[in-house]
Amino acid sequence: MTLLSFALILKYCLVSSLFAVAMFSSAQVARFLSFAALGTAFLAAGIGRHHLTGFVLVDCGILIAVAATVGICTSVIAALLHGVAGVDRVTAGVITYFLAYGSGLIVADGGMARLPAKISPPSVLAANAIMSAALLSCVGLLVFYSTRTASGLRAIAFSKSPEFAGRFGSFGKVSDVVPIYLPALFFGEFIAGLGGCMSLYLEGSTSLNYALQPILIGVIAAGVAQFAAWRARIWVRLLITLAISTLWALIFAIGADLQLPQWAADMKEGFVALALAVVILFVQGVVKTFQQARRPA
Amino acid sequence: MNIESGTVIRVKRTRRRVLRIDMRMELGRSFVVLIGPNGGGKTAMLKAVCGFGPFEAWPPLERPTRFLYLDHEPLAGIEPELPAIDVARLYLRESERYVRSWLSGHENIESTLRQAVLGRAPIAEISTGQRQALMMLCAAKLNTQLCAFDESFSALDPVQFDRALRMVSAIGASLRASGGVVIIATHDYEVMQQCVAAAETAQLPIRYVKVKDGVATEVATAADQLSRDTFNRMYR
Repeated sequence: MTLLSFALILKYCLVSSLFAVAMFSSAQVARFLSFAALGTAFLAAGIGRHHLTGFVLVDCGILIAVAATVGICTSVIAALLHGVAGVDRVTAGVITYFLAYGSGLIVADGGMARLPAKISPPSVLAANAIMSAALLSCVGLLVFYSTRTASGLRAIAFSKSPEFAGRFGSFGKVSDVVPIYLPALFFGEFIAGLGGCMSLYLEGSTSLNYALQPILIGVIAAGVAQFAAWRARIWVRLLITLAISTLWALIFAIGADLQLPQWAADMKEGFVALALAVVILFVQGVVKTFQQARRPA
Repeated sequence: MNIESGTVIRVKRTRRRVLRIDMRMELGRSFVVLIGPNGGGKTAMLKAVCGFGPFEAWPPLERPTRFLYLDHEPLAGIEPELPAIDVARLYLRESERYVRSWLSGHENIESTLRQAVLGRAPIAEISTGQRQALMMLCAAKLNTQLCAFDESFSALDPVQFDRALRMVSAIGASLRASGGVVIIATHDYEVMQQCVAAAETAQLPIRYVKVKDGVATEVATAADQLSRDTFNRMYR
């Protein structure tokens, strides 16, 4: 078994374990597995680095800095989804994870495209991607579970308790001002923007195919958020998000050279991760709907 | 803080529930008791008065800037592993050291609860009754314009309930001085009577409001006007 295939196995173990976390976890199990995943990811990344003789330290630093920044952002999004939009904690955690995972892959694969092909086997860089994705999850967990300040943040951000409303003064007003679809739009735009920026960064120009990526990512991401925010008129909100994401992404298509380059296969895992989130949340939504339908009035 | 006669509060979430208030409530220096059957609109009214969404009210309600709302299941939305002392610390906006010394010397807290809180027990390990007691204790320390208790005493044991009544009385006296209001919603006649007695100790004028089928109507302004029979009839 080569180091490379070992890294691949680790990667898929990681993905499947986190998938399991997303589906079945309690908070404690999720935390434990997330940290376990982090360790695994570092191991995988270490194996990957072994091959990456040309991967300069600066790139690693940038990757980690970006990962940490995005991690904090995604944690805040999770907090907003939970505290403001009323999405339950596990679902918000799932969204955070897949957001981190998908964007981590995109960021890391972006780094791969900059490297000479001979020293950038995709799987090895995917291991780096997982490292960054796990790092994002870790940052989120650290922010919300470890520090003293986090206790306060959690109490405020995650609190739907009316006891705190009068103390912090924003319970009713925030929910009035921030409609439920705003986090969803933000979420979709964020992913779409990330994809679009990466395509610009990689190609140095826009192209139709790269414009399609942010459309798809945006739509999928918005779909995740919409399904998570499982309330009435979900399809209307989904269509609105889809329309805005499409419009946004079409801006990138303006001036495209209309050539049809190869699909960015390196990014497919990001799509898969987000699509998994859609499936999970769709199933959750269907189950919840059936439960509600069967509940006696 | 006033609620005009004819105020209509629409509950956005269901788009069907509408609460109509057929009285003029000058919410100041008073103790308001909400009575009525389940689903009648008591909680909707309490939340609307506190300014919680999602509601639409016309004419617009003046929302209090400092208020306290305790329902029958306090801290249900808080992260369950948050230590109870952190909840108290955040709630009171005081340091942990201060809260520790405050709780250590407080006579109105039961010893098991005190130990749990000082031992940094997470709120998931604290029973509903203990949460109610802890939140009442914290509530008595706050300086608010409005205190809303929505079945907040339902899980208290008799000893804790007596302590809670003392705190209601203290809160009432404080609000009388500052021009605030206490509103309680309860289904229990005995609880209501004892709360009213506590309010009388605090020299707060008492008003009884029936909330049924989405209509809030003032029914009495004195304790002797609300016999048990009258109370029971409100549920029929």
